[in-house]
Amino acid sequence: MIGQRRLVPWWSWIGLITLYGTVFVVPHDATRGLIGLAFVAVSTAYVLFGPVRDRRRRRSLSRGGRVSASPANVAGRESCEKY
Amino acid sequence: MSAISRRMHLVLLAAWTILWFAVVQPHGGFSWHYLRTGGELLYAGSGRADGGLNLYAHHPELQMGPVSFLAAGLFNPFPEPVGQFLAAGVMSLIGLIILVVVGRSAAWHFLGTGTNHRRLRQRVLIAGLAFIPMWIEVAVRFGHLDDVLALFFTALAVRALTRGNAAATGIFLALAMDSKPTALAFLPLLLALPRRQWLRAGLWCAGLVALVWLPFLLHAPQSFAAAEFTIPNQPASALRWLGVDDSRTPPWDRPAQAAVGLALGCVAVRRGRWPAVALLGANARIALDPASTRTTPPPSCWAPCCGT
Repeated sequence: MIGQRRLVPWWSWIGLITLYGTVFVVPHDATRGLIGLAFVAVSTAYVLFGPVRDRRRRRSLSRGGRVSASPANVAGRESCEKY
Repeated sequence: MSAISRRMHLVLLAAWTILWFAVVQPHGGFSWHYLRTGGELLYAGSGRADGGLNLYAHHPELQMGPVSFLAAGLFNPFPEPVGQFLAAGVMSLIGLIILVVVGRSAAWHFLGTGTNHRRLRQRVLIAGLAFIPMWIEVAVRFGHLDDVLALFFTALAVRALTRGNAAATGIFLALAMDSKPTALAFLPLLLALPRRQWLRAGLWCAGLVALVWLPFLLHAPQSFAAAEFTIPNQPASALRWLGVDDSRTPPWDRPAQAAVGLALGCVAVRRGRWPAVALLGANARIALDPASTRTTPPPSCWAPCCGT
């Protein structure tokens, strides 16, 4: 969910409801298995093929979006230690 | 903004962790006996016929990596209830540390993009509120130190990756696999490094994995049999819905989990989406696992590792 435009992306809510909610409201074992499998299939397809917003285009990237060894902005590094 | 307000999300997450720890700990430690036994056997060395490097050859049911048993053994000098309590506390703390590491990794990954750090901290807080209860379930109720360490080292590997540190990325991924072999699915993270760093990272990773696992395999070749250990194929497993009605783990299942996880991870890196590698590895595990999602750490537990 980190890095997305919305504070809590819609697919985070879906994941939360699917993975937590079913444990409490779906008593049938096989049905929970199917729901788990469906979440796996959908989330896999989404993270691989869903649309993404490239917020890092200002950084120097090597091919394929690989991580650069030399971050472009040194001034913001202090902020990275506030977590 | 004061330092206190900047850290408020961590204070809230710590309180949330303590609350869940207090609720779950009295009924926890369901699987801790595996770790305690493994730790005792590993530290016993050649003093026991089934100890030391004979561990996996004689106890294939102990499906955790040597690093997990080495860590678990540190709690064995204490009386069992005390050791279990301390281990649960440490594992809970590791969950909090993972959230901090993930937040810093995300901040570093987005360095120079005008990221709103206040908003990012809010996201860490919200993600943590969802993550902690399931983390406590895995760490405290089940006492799965192997999952805890594998995720912890994977989070550290992601941190090293975002900083472009090839050696550290390789070392932490190796430690993850040394803690839990299924962390093999996270190996494609190495490919997210610049191509010129692949060899360095790969050598560190392969060397450390070999250093930890080879002594067992060379000293007691029967240790390979541990890979054939099976568990019941539960009615709530996703595997049942894929048409596998075997009563126990089919022999092709574990290799298939690793292969599918690795393949999906490679596709993610190829498409420039390396933060998805951890989630995809966990998904491959769940889709092909004979256990139900109640006993397999769910994607929500692994997701912070791909939160960036």
